[in-house]
Amino acid sequence: MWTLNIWVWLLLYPSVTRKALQTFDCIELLGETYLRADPAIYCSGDDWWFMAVLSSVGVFVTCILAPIALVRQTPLDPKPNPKPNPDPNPKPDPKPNRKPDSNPKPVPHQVRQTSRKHASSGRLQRSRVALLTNTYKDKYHYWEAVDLTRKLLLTSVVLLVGPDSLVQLWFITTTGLAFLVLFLALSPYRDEAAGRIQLAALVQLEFTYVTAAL
Amino acid sequence: MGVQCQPGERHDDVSQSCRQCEPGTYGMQDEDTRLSSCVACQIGVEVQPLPAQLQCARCDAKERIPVDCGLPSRIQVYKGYYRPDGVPPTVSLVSSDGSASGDARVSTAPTMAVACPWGIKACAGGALHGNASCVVGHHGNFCAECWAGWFRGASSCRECPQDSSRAVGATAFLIVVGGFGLLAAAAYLRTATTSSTGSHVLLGGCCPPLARLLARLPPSTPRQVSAIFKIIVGLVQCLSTLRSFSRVLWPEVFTDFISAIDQFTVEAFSIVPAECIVGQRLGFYYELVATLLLPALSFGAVMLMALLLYGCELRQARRATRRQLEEQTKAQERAAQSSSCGLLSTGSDSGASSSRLPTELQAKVDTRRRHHRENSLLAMLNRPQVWTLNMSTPTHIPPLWLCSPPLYSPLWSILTTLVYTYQGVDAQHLGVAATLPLGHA
Repeated sequence: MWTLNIWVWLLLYPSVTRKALQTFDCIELLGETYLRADPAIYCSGDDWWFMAVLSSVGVFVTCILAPIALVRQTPLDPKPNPKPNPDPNPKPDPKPNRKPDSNPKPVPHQVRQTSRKHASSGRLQRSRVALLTNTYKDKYHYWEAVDLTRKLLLTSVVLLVGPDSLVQLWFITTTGLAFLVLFLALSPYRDEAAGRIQLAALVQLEFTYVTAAL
Repeated sequence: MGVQCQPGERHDDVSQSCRQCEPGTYGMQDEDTRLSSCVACQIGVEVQPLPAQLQCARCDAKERIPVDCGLPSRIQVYKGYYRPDGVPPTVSLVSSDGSASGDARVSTAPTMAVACPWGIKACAGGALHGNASCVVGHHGNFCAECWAGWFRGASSCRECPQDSSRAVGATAFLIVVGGFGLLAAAAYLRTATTSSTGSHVLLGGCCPPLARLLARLPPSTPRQVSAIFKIIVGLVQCLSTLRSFSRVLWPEVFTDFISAIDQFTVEAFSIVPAECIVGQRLGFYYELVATLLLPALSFGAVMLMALLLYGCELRQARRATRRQLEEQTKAQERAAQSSSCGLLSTGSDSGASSSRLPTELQAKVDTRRRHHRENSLLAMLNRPQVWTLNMSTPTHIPPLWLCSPPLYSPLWSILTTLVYTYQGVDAQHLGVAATLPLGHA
């Protein structure tokens, strides 16, 4: 169920961000500014401001809150075969030189149950967001957020950066190149085949951008 | 020399009168002789489409302004660009480019046409300007408004479906596609199980040959497939933006390719003629609201579908368990009857037969039956099935779901799921869940 929701979200993400940012993309004609997405609408007045606020909320939720939530929801996998830890956030011992207790108190049943509860909750969370994390290496569990940022820049933000100018083309070329270099440097994919396909896709995109800029 | 011509006119020596300078020329008066004449604009550098003018407009192809400067008598706008009607050629359409309006002698050529948001699908360009330069079905600024009987698509105006049979066919097609999509989603939700590593196993319960085939694949295959699919979707989404760059004149084949793959970006308004259905112009505002609501709606739809499916599965599982329990109880009763040395007469109705049991034996059978039922239900709830591991709550959804209005159910499910995300699923949850079936059994 969560996987299906994530698929839908991944599919809709560029459309939503692009549509939201289109509110701020205006074109000028004879001293008046019009909305590029619908030139029957002026880029001024109460209606446009209402749309701008609505879009800002949409952009904030999808471009800022969603990636942050994504990073927070994709914790690292625990170490293999971990021993039960009674305290998930152990504090440093204020008396490190204290002699070990010869008669240690048994771990209360309630504490062990809480630890098991946390472990179970963590597993459940990881399984829910597995689609976002399991294609990447453990230390790059957040890479889907990086990829979403790439999509945001290349599909939505680019429309606002120097529209109808060379700046726009150079922006998309530079951004694509930056993410390509980042990908080559880190190779975050767990599977080699997927990594190669992603590399081919990034190179193909970069060639297209360079062709457009030239 | 008695005729004094107006600016922009020339002396006609034959008729001894004044005549307007033709397009492609401008009028000039000799300061010594006071004779007016027409001077042709420089080809490739200047244009003047209006008669009786005093100057030509600078038109420098090197500046990449979107008009053809080869014909001085007209402003030939490129395809995909728009120029409003009745604007003097010396006036720049965009004030921010630094060219002064009305002054042809400035260093920068005035912007004579602006890029259409919909490109060549709306703006045909050419020597005619304004609405006359729009493709059929379009009008207004940037040719971005639609005629009556047409609707705003994602990249152009489209005619509302006139032929009802075609409309019915298209609707039926959409319904079939949507139905298949829902069925696929339902099948996925019904059969997907989640392992501890997060890998998903499709077709757990149906299509045994295919499930066996999938089971033979390496465990990393689903992960690889989903990774490749994500990469392809991402590539398509990035490519679809390329048609927005009006400075780039892509080859037509490439444009068609991008238009074809653009369907992946889920532009609902290019598929559904909402304006035709409503009968009025909706515009960007409605598109924006609908697009922003789309993720929430799709999330709600998936949750509702999951709720219904898991509710049905749970009910079936409970019914099967109850049937199994009844059969086991009957078998135990039969065994008890046989062990009571024929004190009791045999009968098909277990209730009737148990009512004739001695009190001690009846209590023993009841205790054993209760223990067996509790053990079976706890075992069932501990089993890592879809509705215990993946959904985490719905063991007690159906009783509440049947009582609550259908609209509340998805919200309730989302809230409970979120709550249990932080509480975890353990003995506490199972304890709550285990008490409910006993009460309803």
